Amino acid sequence: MHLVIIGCGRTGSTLAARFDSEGDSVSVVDDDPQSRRRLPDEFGGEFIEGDGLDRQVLEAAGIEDAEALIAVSSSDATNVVVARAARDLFHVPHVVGRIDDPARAQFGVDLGLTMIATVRTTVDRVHRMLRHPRLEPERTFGNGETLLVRAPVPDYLAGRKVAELDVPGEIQAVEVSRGGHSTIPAGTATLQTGDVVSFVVAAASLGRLRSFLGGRWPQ
Amino acid sequence: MNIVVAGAGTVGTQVAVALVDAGNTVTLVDLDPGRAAQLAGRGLGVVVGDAAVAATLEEAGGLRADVLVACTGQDPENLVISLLARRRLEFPRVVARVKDERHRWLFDETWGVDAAISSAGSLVHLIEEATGSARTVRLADLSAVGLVLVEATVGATSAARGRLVTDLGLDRHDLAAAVIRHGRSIPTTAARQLRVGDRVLVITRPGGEDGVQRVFYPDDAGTPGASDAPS
Repeated sequence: MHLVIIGCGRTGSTLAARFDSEGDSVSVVDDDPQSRRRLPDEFGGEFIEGDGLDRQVLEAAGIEDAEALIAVSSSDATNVVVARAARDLFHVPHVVGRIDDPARAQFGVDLGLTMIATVRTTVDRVHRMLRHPRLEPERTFGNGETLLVRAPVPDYLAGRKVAELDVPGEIQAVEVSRGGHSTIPAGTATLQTGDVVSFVVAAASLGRLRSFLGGRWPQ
Repeated sequence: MNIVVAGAGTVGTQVAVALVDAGNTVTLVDLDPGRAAQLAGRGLGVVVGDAAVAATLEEAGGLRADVLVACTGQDPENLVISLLARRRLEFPRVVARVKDERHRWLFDETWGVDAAISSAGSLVHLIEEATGSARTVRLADLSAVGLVLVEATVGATSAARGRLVTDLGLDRHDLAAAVIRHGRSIPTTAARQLRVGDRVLVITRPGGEDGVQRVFYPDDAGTPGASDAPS
């Protein structure tokens, strides 16, 4: 497939190199000619020196035939504008961008764009690692509002029903691993020492889940 | 009018000062606290903050203001500020500065921009355009009876200049109520040929402002609504 990448900084150049090495056609746009040096010698794609908001530059980069556009320039506003133009004016099927400033992350949501809020994501992650060290998520959904986490069952919960862990709208136990086997718990299933339980949990309720599981910080 | 100008660079400051001199209430928004200090005592309100964040525009008077002028030196910033002003703060009019002509294609109603202006023109021209709405300003909301009163200013580039009010070609639902010349209201029939500086009061329907604007400024490139409005 053909990809257009706006911004040849660390993120843009790394993405460009990876997709190029996997055989995709890549055009990278950056207005700083020096940024080209971030691409590896063997890079087989195209580097276009130009302004990612200039329609002619976007067309030269092949946006009209692109399968994907990645907006990772150093300007949040540029990323939002070019991502929206790619989706709405050029009908690019896959559009992803980056917003660094957490105060501006809402633009992505308001416009229905897939924008990775890098600072917010990093802050959430670090906060979780320190505050909820035993609850490192297996997976996050949306912009991190909902998580899938796995945790060993503390001894004091042995013999209780799995369903007792559920809090409607906040915490839901969805899977129990025991002795190398995994089951989806039925209403009457009880917990045993050594079980590892998967929970779907709202990010705001991680503290509540942690107190269920008896976690303490720092440990 | 109550006007918020985002961006206190050279152009933004000039626009703001000229708008104050013309009798408007103006609040400048800029990220740089140093700029705010420099602008103290010039009759301007100043808010330090990111104009692309709703809370900042709100603090600048967003919910009471008539016009937002997005006037930073960066075009994508002007676009996201315009969108925020229109969608979240519901500014009745949004005017955005286009710094680089290669970006003009982006400045349209999809970003909430009513009029796109370039800083290349003379300051006076810029002000005329910056207040784009000042040419057709909604003066009173008579929407309860399905009407609004707007004021259109005859500028040097207006198609109305030198014409009779009866020959303007206003929509048949629109009514030119009076002409204001040298600060006095005169009957439309007594006004004879319209002159630069005249202001024409027009009663129209809500949403009819664009049509009035077209009568007065048919060639107004960069004013979306003239040709792009979905019908």
